Amino acid sequence: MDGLVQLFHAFFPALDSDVLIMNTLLSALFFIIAILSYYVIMATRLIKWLSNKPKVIKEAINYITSELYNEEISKAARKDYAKKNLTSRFLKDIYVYQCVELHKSLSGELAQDLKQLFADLNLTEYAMDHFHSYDWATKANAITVLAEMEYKVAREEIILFVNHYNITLRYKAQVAAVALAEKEPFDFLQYINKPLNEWQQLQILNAAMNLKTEQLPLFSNWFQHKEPTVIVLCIKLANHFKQYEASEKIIEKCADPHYDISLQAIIAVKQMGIYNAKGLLLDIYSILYTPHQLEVLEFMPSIGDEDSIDFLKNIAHTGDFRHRLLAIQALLSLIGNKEELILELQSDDSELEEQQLMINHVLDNSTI
Amino acid sequence: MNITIYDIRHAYDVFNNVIMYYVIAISIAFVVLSILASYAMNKYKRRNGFVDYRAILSTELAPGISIIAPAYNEGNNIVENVRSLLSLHYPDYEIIIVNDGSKDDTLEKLIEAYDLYKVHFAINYQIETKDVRAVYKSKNKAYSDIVVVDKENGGKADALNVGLNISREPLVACIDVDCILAHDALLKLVKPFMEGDRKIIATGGVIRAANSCEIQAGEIKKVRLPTKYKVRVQVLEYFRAFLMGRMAWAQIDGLLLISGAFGMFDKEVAIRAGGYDPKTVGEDMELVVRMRRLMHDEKTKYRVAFIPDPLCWTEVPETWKMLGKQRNRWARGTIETLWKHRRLCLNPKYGVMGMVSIPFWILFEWLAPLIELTGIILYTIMAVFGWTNWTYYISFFILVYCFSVMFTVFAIWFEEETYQQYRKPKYIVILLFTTILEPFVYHPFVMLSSVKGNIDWLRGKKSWGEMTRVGFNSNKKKEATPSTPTD
Repeated sequence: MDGLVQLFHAFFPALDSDVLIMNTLLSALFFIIAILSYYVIMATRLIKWLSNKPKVIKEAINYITSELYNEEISKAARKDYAKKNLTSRFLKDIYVYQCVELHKSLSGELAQDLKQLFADLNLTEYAMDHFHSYDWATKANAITVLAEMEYKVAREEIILFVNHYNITLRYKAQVAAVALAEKEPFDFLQYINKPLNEWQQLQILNAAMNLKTEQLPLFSNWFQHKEPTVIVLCIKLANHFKQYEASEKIIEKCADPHYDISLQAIIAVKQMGIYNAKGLLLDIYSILYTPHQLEVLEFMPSIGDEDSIDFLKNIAHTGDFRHRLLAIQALLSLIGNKEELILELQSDDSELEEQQLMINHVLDNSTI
Repeated sequence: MNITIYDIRHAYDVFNNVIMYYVIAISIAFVVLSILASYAMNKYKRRNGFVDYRAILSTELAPGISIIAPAYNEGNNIVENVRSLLSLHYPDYEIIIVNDGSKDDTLEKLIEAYDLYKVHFAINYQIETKDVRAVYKSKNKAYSDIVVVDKENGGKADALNVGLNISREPLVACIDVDCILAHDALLKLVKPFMEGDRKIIATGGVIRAANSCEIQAGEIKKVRLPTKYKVRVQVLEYFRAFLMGRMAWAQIDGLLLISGAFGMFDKEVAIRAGGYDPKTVGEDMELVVRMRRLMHDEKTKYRVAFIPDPLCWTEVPETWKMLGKQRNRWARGTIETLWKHRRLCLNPKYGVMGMVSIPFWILFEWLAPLIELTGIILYTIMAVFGWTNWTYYISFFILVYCFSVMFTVFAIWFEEETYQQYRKPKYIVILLFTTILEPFVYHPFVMLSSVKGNIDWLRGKKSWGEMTRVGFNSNKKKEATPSTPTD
């Protein structure tokens, strides 16, 4: 520091206060950092420009599509092409990305051909190398690539990461485990010991949608899992794939003390139209959380009957706004003589105007 | 008591020191913020490589969203704006347009374009609002997700509260109706709500200036750097505020502001917090602070998230007059919120918000223009008396100037490393020159507007002030929007 100050004095003998020296040195530092940062921005742009990425992407797309429609496939020629053209990580990444994106929009024979091309260009090995990286993000991206390109051999290794501490890597591994399975796509669920958030659940469901029906297990098999979010996922999956074999177990879950499990079970019962859940739902209605109660009330037009009318009328008079509206909606769908019901519901003068508005609201189909 | 020249000189020296320490503190704070933002940005990019948002479109598991768009005298563009909202990519959303007592033909144009008719609608008045005159829905099934509410004029906050009362979905996206949203804006903004280890109560994304951009059918076709100097500086300000400031605050869970132009909220929490406050002009910040306060009071673990994706494009002021009014209003909004929630300041019960965010906002957002102006006035007085040490003064000015240039270049770098919206090389050169010039004309003007905002706040001024917009792809001036301006 002393040397710097002496140097400073040599150049600026007029400035002798410490504050002045500090101001000037800091100004110079900030100025140099700003210039260097700007230089980095420009240099990065120059490198990008020199790499001519759009041209490379265009070449990649042209090559991939021409190979897909090429009737005379030569593995040797492809290997040769890869050796000559895919010489850097930058180039390989572009080809990987283009193959993955194209594969998403293909199916059948073309998708198989693309998979073969991907392997012939040694990109599977490249993705596997990345999968073996120590960096979790590189590993996670490689898993996505391997899953999309259906490299089923990798499943055994990938499945080891379904409980990884890194959430991104974890969910990519879970999705890949479903996508790459030959026989039991959900066998990894038994090992899950960390919560599955909604995003993970959505991704797993999305992967499951690409499976053949015969690959789908009975999801109620995991309804006793120690991780509640696995049960929630399995109820959602059973609901999505309309597994009526699981109906009884789903009904049981409607009374589960876990908030999300019981809510998903009630939603599943409603969406699957499991009518024999009615007795249980009415029995436990009073001890349910509000969102659960609202789901039950939404289900009432389908499962309600003469016996439910008093229950609904009670709610229509005493519940809060949303409960009343749904109860009125259910009543109007259950009772043939609507005028009579309207008169009956309007008997309480204190709430006459609001009741009338709710009835009109419900009667107006566009707002139900 | 005799005040001698010596006392005045001593006071001047003390003030000099205060200013110096203040500048050091603010500089360190901004450096820390930029480091945090850099870390947060890197983490976001790594976590979201190869994310396939299309998965949301193909399943029924995505939470429903109600888009609430207040409209006041938007007759010129309302039909196109709603059409743009209809083209968003999301499986389950409704659009609630709240006509806030427009004096023009906003409602009539909507009725005609979307085949609307009046429906009976029982409204759950969980938040008190001005009277709703009517609710409209479309006869055309293609527009079945549009709800138009006609209400008495009550301001933007009141209109948003009506939307909250009417919405049927668990998440609400509150937007300015004339903003242009990216097609995947909802997909990206909903993701944090689905992946949070804690309850997510609000999410925001990056807002960009749409001035000079090429826009077709409610979509940004070509991004151009604005031609006007003052608009370009606002581009830089948005880089700093969104890519650096908000990313950093979100990283330490201290974010207090989700832009009113586009933000997504947990409806249940927003309603329990009491909805938007119609008495403030900074209703967006005030709601976030109140929601956070509620979560702390209830001892619920929560987070306010922010994503760096450019999701929303808005028209920023093009004239000094409009810019001045906007900054005046922003200053008043900030002060109103900070004053209303002053008890949170340095209160450990409110965690990062109480111990870091609120003190930061008071010190470096509210007080910064006041301290700066006081310094300029005092230095001028001292110069008149011949007491100014010009060498020191100039070296100090150069120091602050170099720091501000460095910080803004960092912000440009962030933009380059993330989304690089301004692709032409000449744009980067122009942005650098804009950075160099910013402290000389633009900054003093904004500082004075903020000071005026402080004065207006003391006087009890509550209005938004008239906002005139040029309008996208149009040279025609649009009618003012006194109650529900959209920036």
